[in-house]
Amino acid sequence: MSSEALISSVLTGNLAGLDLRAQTDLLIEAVRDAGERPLGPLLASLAEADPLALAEVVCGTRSPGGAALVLAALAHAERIEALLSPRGAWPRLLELGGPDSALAVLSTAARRHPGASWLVALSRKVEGSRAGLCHLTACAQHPAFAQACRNHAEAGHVEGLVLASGATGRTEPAAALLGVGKFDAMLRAAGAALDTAPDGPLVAQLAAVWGPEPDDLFVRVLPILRKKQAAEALRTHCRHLPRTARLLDLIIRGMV
Amino acid sequence: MPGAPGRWPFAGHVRGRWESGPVQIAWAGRVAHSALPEEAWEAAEALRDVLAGVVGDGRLDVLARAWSAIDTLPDRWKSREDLCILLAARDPAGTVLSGAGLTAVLVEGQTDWVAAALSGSPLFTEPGAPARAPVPQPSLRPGFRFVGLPKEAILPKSGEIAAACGVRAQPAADPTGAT
Repeated sequence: MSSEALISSVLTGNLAGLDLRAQTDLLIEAVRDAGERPLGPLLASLAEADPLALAEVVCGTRSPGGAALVLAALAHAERIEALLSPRGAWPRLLELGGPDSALAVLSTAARRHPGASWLVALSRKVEGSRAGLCHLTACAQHPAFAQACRNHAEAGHVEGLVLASGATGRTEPAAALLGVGKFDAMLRAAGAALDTAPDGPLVAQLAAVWGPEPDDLFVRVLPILRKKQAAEALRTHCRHLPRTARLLDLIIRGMV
Repeated sequence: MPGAPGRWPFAGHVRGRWESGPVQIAWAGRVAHSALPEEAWEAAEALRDVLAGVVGDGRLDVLARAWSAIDTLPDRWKSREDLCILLAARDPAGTVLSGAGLTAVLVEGQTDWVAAALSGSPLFTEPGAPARAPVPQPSLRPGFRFVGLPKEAILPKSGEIAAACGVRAQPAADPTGAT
């Protein structure tokens, strides 16, 4: 069989007769020469036959890299992580795939490891000024969401937190921003969250960060309210916040 | 009462005061602190509910009534047995303290915070609403501001006590001009 025919056969996922450990060079050559041909069948066969060879082709020192390879490899993330630590595998995949696969890499990593602290640095690399959006959107229903918000807040990922508030309707990003003293950003995040989910637990979460007398805080939060439903939901938590309650009553009366 | 380290330092914290004529009572405490903020807020609101409007004919009477009020907390919160609270009651004859779930009580002196009670004081009990109202204790030193340190909390540095208790600077202005 000619070299080209062998490569074509390998790319269809046919690994019969190959010594995968000894013929890694051939596998790498097949990936390099694949052109527009899909890499999925080869990686699927490798994942089944020899995950170590898969990891070597995808993440090893001689890996040809490229977005196509990395995007195809994401389907086998579990196998790759079994051989390389997640903390090592994901930055490596990011590096090998380049910008065309970066968001898919980050998104997959966030879904698989919603509570991982290393996602904060990975987010910054991929999303820049919007760091945190992808991670927080992916882990909004995970118990680690509040801690992830806090981690991104401590890393200064203000815009990502504000955007994540709007995308998820969760109020934890606002609480995390308040916790690091970003008051104006907290207001934006709180407003975005209430626009999406007007009855979110904003009062409870901000008070848990602010302190036992949150009346002054909520007086300053009220200008963010745009929806009557949000104002009314907030009002139900204000029976011991006299200034806030008084202002809210005025605001609600003025809303349609 | 100082907040705890973590994402929700003041979950379940309350602070308030009430006065009726010459008798004043102030409280700082926390309940359901380890719960999620939503649940802790609900518990704190219940504690505010029962303490709001507590009045008495003197500092001892108002303290007794405060404990009676705390006894009416819904079982949902009482049964957690995690209430930590400091009560300070004052009338023209002096100030007395009472509490539950505390390991230290400090009073703000002229230059520093100092102990307001000795170890072994009835102020220092396990967390939870007590079955009987604790015996009120006079403060070892005169003062108006007290701090109760809950069980397993770390005493903040002297200069950081107010901030650690969530005492915040007042906002510059009310957006509507209301006072």
